[in-house]
Amino acid sequence: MKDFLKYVVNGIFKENPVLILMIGLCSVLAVSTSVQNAIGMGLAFSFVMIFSNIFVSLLRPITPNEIRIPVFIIVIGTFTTIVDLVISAYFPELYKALGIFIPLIVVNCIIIGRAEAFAYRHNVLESIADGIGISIGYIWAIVALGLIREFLGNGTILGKTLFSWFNPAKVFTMPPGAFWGIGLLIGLLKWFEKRMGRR
Amino acid sequence: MNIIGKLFMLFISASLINNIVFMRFLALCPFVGMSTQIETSIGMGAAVTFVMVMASVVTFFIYYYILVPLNLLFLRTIAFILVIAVLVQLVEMVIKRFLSGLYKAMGIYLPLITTNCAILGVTLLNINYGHNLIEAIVYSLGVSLGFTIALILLASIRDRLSYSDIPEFWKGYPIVFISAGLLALIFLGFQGLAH
Amino acid sequence: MKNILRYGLTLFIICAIAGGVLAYTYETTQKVIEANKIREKIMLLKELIPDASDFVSSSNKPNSFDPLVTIKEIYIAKKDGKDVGRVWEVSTKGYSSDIVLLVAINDSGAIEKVKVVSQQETPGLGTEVTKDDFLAQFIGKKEANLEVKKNVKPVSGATISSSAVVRAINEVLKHNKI
Repeated sequence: MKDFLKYVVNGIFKENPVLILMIGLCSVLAVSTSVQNAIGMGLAFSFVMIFSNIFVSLLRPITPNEIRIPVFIIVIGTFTTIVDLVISAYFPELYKALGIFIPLIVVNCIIIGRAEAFAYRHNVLESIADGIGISIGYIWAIVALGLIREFLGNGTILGKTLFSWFNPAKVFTMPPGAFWGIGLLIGLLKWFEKRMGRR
Repeated sequence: MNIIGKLFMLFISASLINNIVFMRFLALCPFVGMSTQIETSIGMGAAVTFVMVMASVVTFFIYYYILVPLNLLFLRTIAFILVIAVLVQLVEMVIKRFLSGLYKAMGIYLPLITTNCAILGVTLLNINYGHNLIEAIVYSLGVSLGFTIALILLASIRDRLSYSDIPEFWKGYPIVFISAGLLALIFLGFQGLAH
Repeated sequence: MKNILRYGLTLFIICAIAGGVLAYTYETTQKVIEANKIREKIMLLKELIPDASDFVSSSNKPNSFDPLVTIKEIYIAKKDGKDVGRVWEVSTKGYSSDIVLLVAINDSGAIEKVKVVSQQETPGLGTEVTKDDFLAQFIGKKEANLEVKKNVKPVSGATISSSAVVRAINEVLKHNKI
């Protein structure tokens, strides 16, 4: 149990995929224009991440080293397509908002990276823990960026205007804002870690 | 003449107006990871161009001559990424064997390209935009050129940054992203070219 | 050699299972997607004839008189079982794209409303034909005698796009007379 939690927390902070390992950035920057979209993307990602980890780990006994990459791709691709079909059917608004970033989950470096670095070498339970941790790490990073961009760029959070006197700067909902936002978050996390390290 | 004009607009749009990195947020991993030196940037850009154009052509045929007739459109994502992975493997083997000079220049970047979201992204966009084969090729060339430009620009900035005095917590990636954001702001100016 | 066979078989089995799972997911979601599409269509048609409670696709689709116009669908608007009008879905050749529009005819034979559904005309010029500023002038028309500059005010700078829309509306009015 303690090991399980250790793997989960690892994905949230120490090995946060977006802010520490800095992979899988494309979807984070592109979809964080609003908190709602960020949450949607985060959940879609998590589904694929966790199930891919599970099945890559499950299929270990029959996956020889030489063909492991194609097997990863097939497994991740299958779950990505499932998420693609389900969202297009049941959440058409979200589908339009996320656009090509849903099928692009299959090349998200985080998922393939984790399959290779973790799920292929650990058992199913540990892989679930890692999947959950990484997913939470991804979700909190993309939602944090979404909060910054939606608030500074639109004055709203989840579509609700917070302060009527606040005049938002549209640039934050546009590409420059995404880059600045993530730079800010990475810098903040570095500062935070330094302070935690000092204690 | 009109076709040439349209293709030219497509090219400019792909490389500048809708720059793959600064406007579409694709290919960010290599963008951030490979922009440390200008030489590596050019090598990476060349490799991406190579793979992207070939991937566009191959996926074009697979989509319109296999997936569509057999009504298997939902297998699009998996089919494309498998094709790209196989293509990259083949290209690497061929270049290593027959063009060793080229391999020394850009071969090492090839394995990284499989997970480059821009490659899969462009093949999917070709379908979404309904490009024919010529348009797909021109589009891929434009996108890879835009990617190379973005990479070289950021590499140049990072080169200068290494001589500057940067506050502690901005050092490393934070300042890289702030710079990238400024580049994105500049590229936003190209939007006016379209109309 | 034996290894390649083993690898090939493993990959093949995994592919087959993946393919099966995806085919099943696809079948299930397709039903929902179809239902969504129909619902969206009805909402769009309701925009044109708000009174209607239901729309039925007409099986009688005549050929168009004008070669540049295609009649895609005719929806019969019904309210409590009664015919309260029709919505024609027509496609016309515009300046740089096919313009698809919906023309609603009420039960007195006059145009109730026109709405452009899709187009890829020149932004800022041809795209203005989608606006009510241009489309509102067709409301109430019954005769298929519409002509740009004679009795129709075109979008300035977008004569071809405007004429395309007029052509489509004329086509609908011509059929309506029959």
